[in-house]
Formats: sequence, C-alpha cells, structure tokens
Amino acid sequence: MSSYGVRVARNQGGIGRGYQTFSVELEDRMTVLDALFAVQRDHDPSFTFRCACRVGMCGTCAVSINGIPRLACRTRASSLGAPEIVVAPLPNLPVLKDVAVSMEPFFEQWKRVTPGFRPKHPESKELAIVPASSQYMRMTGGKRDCITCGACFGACGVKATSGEYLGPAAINRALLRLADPRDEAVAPRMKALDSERAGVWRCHTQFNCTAVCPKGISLTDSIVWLKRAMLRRAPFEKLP
Amino acid sequence: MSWNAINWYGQRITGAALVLLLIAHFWVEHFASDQLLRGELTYEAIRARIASPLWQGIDIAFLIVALYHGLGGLRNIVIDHGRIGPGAARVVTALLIAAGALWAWWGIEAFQNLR
Repeated sequence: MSSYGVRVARNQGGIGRGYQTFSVELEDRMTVLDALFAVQRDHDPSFTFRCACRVGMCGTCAVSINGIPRLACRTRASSLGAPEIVVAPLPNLPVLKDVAVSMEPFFEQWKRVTPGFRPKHPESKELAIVPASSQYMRMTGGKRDCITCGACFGACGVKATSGEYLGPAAINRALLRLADPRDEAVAPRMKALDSERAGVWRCHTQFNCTAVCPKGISLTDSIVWLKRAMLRRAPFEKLP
Repeated sequence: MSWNAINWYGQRITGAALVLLLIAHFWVEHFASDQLLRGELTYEAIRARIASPLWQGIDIAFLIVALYHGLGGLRNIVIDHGRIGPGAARVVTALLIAAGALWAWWGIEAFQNLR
C-alpha cells in the first residue's frame, strides 16, 4: 500500500470552488478511478465523478490527471510517479459538478459531420461486405476504436480557443465514413470539414489529440489525410 | 479545391519559400562580397545590385511572399484567439488585404525611386 494525496477540483453549479486534497491508501496496481472511489467512500460522499465500464471501453471516466486528459480507469496511480494526484474536469467542456463534465458540446460537433452510416443502396437486400483484406479495412484499422471519451477534445489547443471547431474525434469519425466504400453521404460531410472556422483547416497539427488518445488513434494523421484529400480537385476518393 | 484549401496550401508554400529566400537574403546581405566582409558597404553598391531586374524580381517576390505569409498568419491568430464572429472576421480579412496591398505597393514603388 502507498499513500497518495488526491487533490480534486470542486465545482458546484458551474462555479469553481478550488481544490480539496484527501489522503488515500492505494495498492500498487490500483488506478486513479479507485482513488476517486476512495475519496467518495471514505471522505466525501458528495464528491462527483463519472464512470461506467471501469475497463477502458466506454470512455466515461475521462478526466484531467496531473494536467493530462486520460481515462481514470486506465491510469495506475503508481505510473504517475508523484505522491500527489491532481484530478480536474476535462478542459473545453462545461463542468456539471466537481470533475464531471457535460459531453453535450462534444456530441454537438460530432453530429455536424453526419456520423451515422448512410448506405449507398438502402433498399438493397445484399450484404455489403467489406473484406478485412480491403484497402479500407487496412488503412483505417487503427482509427476505428474511438470510444468518444472526449480526451482529444479536452487536449486540443485549437478547441480551447474556438467553440466552433469540430474537434479531432468528430473529424476522425467523418474520415471513417467518407472512406467507407458502402457510404454515400460525401457532400454534407465535406461541407462541414471544409469550413474555415470549424473544419480541418483550423487544426495546427499540435498532436495533443494523438498524444492523449487512450486508444492510440493517430487523430492528427486523420486530419492531415482529409486535408490532403481536399487539396485534390476530385471528390473524396473512397477506399476500395 | 476550395478557397480555404488554397489559402491553407498557400501558407505552406510561402512558408517553404520564405526559408529559402531568408537564407539567400542573409547570405547576400551579410556574406556575399568582400566589400561586405570588410565593412565597406556603400549605398552605391546596394543600388547597383537592386537596379538589376533579376534582383528586383527576387526582392519583390520576397516581399509578396513575406506579406502573404505574415498577414495570413496574423489572420489565423485573430480567428483562433480573437473569439470574433464571421462578420468581424471578414472585416479583419479586408483590412489585412488592404494593408498587404498598400505595403506591397510601397515596397515595389521604392524600386522606381532609386537615385
């Protein structure tokens, strides 16, 4: 067992109330999420945070840990190498209470890129099979694991100054749908992505999103991929 | 290709051009002749160089590239950090284009007044 000082942001009704530090005992393999539970269980039952799956699949527990957006359930306290763990809400999102944020702005931008699948042949009864060996599956393999945790949204320096910017996750989602050979909704997505104030052109290639993505998605690469595609005169090329 | 794409690409092209032009500029201005190295640079020597159409072309290209890149970068900063609406952004763009055109004219005009 090791002793940690867990310094958590307190926020009530959108008003910041500073930080409060609690002393917590953790086993070596325990995570920051365990620390948050310990704070709630042993010190202050009103302390609020979000979590669901606890195994890094749902993305619900994304918070800022020692200044970096991460999943609390996937961050071992011992890996931080510090006696104090500072937990704050994800940046660039409105705080509901303590370290729990509203994901509404994130999903508002998500909706703007037409994230759902729009089939080319909605009436067809044939199965639209995309083989694992296809170019689409091979080139997008590392980009399909997004769990919409919002870590990239919180880490993005452009998002910090622009409410309109789509954010890395939504842009990555648009790329996946655009490159999908079965999907047809190219024009509305390209319109959203080509917006000067909200689209891919705002990205300054800072790589913050890529650095914090808990699924290791190279979001910056997705954005640069789209920029390259938009520099061509031809419409977006579907991957075979 | 959209205007946004052209503008983004223009910033990259002019950025790369500036690297080459700046290196050439520093070399020519500080190391290119014995006269310079001896610290005996005169107005006549500079005038003789920039009277050449080739040097005028290079210098005017440098001026235009630097203005495009610099003012485009300033516009990006204003849009990124200014928290301004689309209408105000259009006014900023118009002002920067006007400033750039005036500045370019001023620089090009200087070549006409070599004495």
